[in-house]
Amino acid sequence: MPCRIDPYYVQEDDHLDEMAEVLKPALEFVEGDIERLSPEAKNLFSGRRHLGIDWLDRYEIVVEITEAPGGCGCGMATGQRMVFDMRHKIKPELSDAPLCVHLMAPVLSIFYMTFDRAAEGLNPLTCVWQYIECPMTGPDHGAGKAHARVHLRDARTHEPVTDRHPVGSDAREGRT
Amino acid sequence: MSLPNEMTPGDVRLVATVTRSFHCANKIREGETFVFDHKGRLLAESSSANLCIGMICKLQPALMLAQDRLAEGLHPVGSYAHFDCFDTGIDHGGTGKVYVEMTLVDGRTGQEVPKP
Repeated sequence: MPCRIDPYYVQEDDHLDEMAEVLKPALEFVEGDIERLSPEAKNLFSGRRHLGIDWLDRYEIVVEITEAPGGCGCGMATGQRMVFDMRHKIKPELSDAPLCVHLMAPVLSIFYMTFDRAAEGLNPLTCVWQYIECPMTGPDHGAGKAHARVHLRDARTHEPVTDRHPVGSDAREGRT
Repeated sequence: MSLPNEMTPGDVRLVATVTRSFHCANKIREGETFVFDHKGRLLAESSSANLCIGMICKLQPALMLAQDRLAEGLHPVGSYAHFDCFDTGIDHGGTGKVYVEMTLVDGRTGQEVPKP
């Protein structure tokens, strides 16, 4: 059932013209592919409008181990980090934690939220779900689980970015 | 059964090889790999694909399954060997899509160990 789309978001007839030349080679789109995208998929790209064209290159997500009692045997240690770019790729050269798929599993949800929040013109990091844990519980009721905290940082300076409306966003630049 | 070729768990490499890819923003290509050890740790230096967690995290259940099968003395890759990434693809409301097939590789030789 078609629904009215709030004007803040990408409309059916909006084909992302101002970024089409970047998107086409990046996604190997042929003629007509952008027009085929759903408005929701186009919102995925609208973060460029609301946070600035370079937002995907501006930040990194850091997962820092806060507790690692050792029950999992993966070798996690307190203070170790996994670092991701905003296209949800691991940066192994900046990561010193074991790249355990189990602890990484909840990080995918963080990235669902980064794109959703970017489309809303907000700081890409969730204001709620900043603490994650290994999903493997074990008979010790999770006493051996690794726990971690997530933060967003500037990719260049590595300073944490906590403003709800970061530099370059609609609200910060007076576009809304 | 036990692991073939006298493999130990430490020799296990679970390799997800890309079988199809389209409109992937992270430029993941057919034939590239994500390589894990038997505990589910991604071995970045052995993997040739860009390390997108949109694909990697979708493999977490597969790696749990492999651990379960190993614990039972079975080949770690059973009937569920084909997986895809979190995006639904351009024809289903999303953008791109990556598909992989999981295989067992003997870390000592780099050779695939077929299912019995």
